[in-house]
Amino acid sequence: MISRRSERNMLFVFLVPAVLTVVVFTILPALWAVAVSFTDRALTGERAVTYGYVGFSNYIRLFENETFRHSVSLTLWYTLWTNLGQFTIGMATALFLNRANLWGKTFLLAVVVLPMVIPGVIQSLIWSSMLAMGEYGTLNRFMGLFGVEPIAWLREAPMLSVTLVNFWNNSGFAMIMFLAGLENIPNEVIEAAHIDGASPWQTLIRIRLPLIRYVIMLWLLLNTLGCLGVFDLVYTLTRGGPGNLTQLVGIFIYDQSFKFYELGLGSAASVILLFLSLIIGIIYIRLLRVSL
Amino acid sequence: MRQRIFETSPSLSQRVTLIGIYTFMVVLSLFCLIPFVWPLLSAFSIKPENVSGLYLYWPEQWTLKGFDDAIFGRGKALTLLRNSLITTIGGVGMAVIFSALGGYTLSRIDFRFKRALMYSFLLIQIIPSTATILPFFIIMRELRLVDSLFGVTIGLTAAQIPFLLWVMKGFFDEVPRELEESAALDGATRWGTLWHVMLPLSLPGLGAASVLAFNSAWAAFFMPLILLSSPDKFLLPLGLFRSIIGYTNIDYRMMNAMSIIYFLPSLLFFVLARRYLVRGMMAGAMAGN
Amino acid sequence: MDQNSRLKRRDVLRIMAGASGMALLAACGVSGSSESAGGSEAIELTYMTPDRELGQQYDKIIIDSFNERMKKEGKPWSVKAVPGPATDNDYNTKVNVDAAAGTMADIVGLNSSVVADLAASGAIADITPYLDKWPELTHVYPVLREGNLINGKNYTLPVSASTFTFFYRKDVLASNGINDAQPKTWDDFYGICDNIAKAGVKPVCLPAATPWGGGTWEEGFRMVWMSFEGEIYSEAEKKWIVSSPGLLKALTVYQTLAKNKWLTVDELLNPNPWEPTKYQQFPAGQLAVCTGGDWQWTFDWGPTGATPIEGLFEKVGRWQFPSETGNPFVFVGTGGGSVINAKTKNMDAAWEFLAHSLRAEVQCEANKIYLGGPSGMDNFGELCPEYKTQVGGKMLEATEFFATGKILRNQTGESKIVDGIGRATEDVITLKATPEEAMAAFAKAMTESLGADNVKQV
Repeated sequence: MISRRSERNMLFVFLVPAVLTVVVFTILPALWAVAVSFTDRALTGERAVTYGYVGFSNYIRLFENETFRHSVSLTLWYTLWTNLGQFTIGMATALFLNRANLWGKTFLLAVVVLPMVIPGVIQSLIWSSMLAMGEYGTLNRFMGLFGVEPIAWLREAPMLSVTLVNFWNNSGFAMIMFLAGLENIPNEVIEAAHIDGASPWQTLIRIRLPLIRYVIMLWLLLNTLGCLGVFDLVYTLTRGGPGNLTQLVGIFIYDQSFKFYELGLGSAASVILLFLSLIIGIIYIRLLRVSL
Repeated sequence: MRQRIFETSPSLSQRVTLIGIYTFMVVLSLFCLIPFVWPLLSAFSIKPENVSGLYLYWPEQWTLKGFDDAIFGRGKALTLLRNSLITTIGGVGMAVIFSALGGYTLSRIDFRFKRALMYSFLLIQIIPSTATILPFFIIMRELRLVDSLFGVTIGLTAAQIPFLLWVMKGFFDEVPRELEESAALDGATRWGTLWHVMLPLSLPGLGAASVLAFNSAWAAFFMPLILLSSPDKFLLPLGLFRSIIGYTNIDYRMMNAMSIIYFLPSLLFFVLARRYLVRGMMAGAMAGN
Repeated sequence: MDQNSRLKRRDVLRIMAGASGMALLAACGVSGSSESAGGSEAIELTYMTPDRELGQQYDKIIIDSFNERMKKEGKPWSVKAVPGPATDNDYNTKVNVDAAAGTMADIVGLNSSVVADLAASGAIADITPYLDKWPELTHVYPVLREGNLINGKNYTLPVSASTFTFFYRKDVLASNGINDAQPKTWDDFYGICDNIAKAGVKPVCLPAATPWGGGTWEEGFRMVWMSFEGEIYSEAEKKWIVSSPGLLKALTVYQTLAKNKWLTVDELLNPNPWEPTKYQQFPAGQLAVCTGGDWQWTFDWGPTGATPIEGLFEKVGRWQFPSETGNPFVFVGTGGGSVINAKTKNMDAAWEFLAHSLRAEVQCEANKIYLGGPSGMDNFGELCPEYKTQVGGKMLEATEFFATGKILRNQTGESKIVDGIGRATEDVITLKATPEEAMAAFAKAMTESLGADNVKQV
């Protein structure tokens, strides 16, 4: 029999490949970014070679920068709306699918999940056709059936467009998570609630949702992290424009780092984003009273 | 599971509810499906003269020219597809193995900073790759992994591990310890227990996790873009943009043909593993409670 | 159920085994290829340009002929193409990351906008000594070498340039009885716009606002700004001018065009604003005037371009930019081109390749793929007679502007100015801000992002 201690050590060996890979290829670059946020290093130009420690001045510049503050608030609103929208679509679909006797159940499941499988590059391609301006844009044509005038979506409602694509792409994931949770609630619990005279609505609010709050929490956390750091979708659809109407923090960081070459400033913005995520994560955990 | 509301014959209000439900389902299905019409039509057809390729049109003539261009012509889709498959399957495979091993440890023993470790893994990813690409690139350079498919594979592995580690730990938490102990009594080693007892039981979880990881790795764009420079090593998403820009106009037919080629493997993988996805998520969802 | 899951387990294990096998294979492939380097004295240089189909074909002709020639001459040098990302933004990002990490290709084709910064970071080589000894230099138009100077040195091969003017639809103006004489001042230009508008045609597309990206500056604003007195960048003090009477007048041009509804404001605010304007309305004759450079003859409206215009050379004419003083001018866009990595494996070989790419017989052959701009050599037409008639002779015609054209050199910090101008013009053409307000906001933003030491108010 092997001793407890050596067994413990062996288990730690199991952990090594995963930890090593993440540390070398993710954590180290991240720590580097944190370090760079305290310098005036640039990607190219003179300050790519001769840069120095500047203390918190990048952070101070960011807090004084109206554009950055705008980006942060835009990102928070985007996160809020996408969470709400996805929750509504995902939960409604999951609740309907949770009813055994619904016709077309498998079809709906497949259809809602399908957009989730589409790689980002294709997503932006097909949505640039959907949202194309003028009377020939697909969405405009569809709305035209109901007598709605053509809309230049990406110009007149850029943030709405981005949010819409987000709903399309991510509601499937929310639905799968919620459905998984709902199907795991024992029948007896619902039956008991019904015997106690609870309406379906009350059962939902008082019993079913609280029972799956861990699932909701996990989805909320993953989704929020995804929304706060969103880049690809917005970059390919609107590049942050027009003006800075869709300049979310992810785009701001990209612009600073690669358009203006300000690695220090861009990294500082990343660190702020990290703290923001941390705070929101803690709020979620407190609000939903889950222990992880 | 049958709900009370349908056990008696439907009343008027219940019918209204049903109509509401089906309306919602139809609208949602349309919303999900309409975007797919354009790439499908465009990839298989000849564009009418005076219509921009970006718009949806009903084709007058069908053709496979787009696929011909994409596969045998300038698209070079087969090379791209091979590279994408190697890196994605390799990356996800490694990530799944590493996470299964690590997740088992995290599930079975406690140590200081365990939670901190798991959270920091998950959270550190919020720092966008745009801020970390330069150090990442320098590390790759030092390891001589620039412009190599193995470098991309490793990069994809690292990106998938944090999420997979969480999921795998959740699944291993589910497996009762008694099973393990009885295996140990039968003389199985730790390794043997993991291989013969734990892994089979957490297979749905593994499947679900792989689907999600495959999806995300398959879509990777920025990292391979910066890391690779030999055309024979490019991946599909990079290829989608290359050679479609002839002068300044975009060949939407070929681009959509490439898109379909790019999209098919992820769809296939998804269909094959779909059962795992729902079952796995179900198990995973409860694991944390 | 049990049977089922066991089967699946085997599948998953097989996939995993396959995956690790493939990863190993990939690893072996890598180590195999890296070993093959070194050994002999042969030097293979890498050459990066954007991965666009025609561009790569064009480069292939140059590379193949170079490799062949080196073989013949018994030199151990060869060049290999390593295409970069196809789109401008991604390409610039790749170049800059490569340069910062020290993995840049030996020879790189650059957009003019990134050259000054790369030079300042020491990533690209000063080729002035080579250029001075180059026998063909006497044939290079002086304005090109001038335009490519960065702190008095040359980093890019001074041969690629584009002349920028207004392009207008002769046929549309003629059929509406509008005189198409060269407008000398902006007031002349406004007069033409008014006539075009009265004829029910959209008068002008002048790149502005943020969606057009760098084009707002390169194809629009810098020329409008230069049409007024005063500097854009003070080379003596190394400062950008962020507030000046000239800048204010330039912004006022945009306001005037927008207020009178002469400018295609709606189109400019959409993503990819060049599509409705240059690719749809102008070719269709619904838009009369557009700015741009020589490439438009080929890439935009040529027979194989984005939207071909039939009878292009009869239907489209060029106007020089009007100016404050009544002396119209052409802008010569310079600064881009091939550069040599400062840490190249072999500087002489890299220079040899650059010089080779300019040989008349090589250029003449490559131009059969496409001719997107005028040659920078004044004797090219004699050495390559086809050139005189290619693209309707328009490229040769454009070289006439080289003698008198105005230039603006690339400077560090340009990307911030470009972004700021995008925002300023957007506010002006949407009439959200007056030119005065837009300029004040621009000056404030630029002082913040460039630093007070690098800007100047006049």
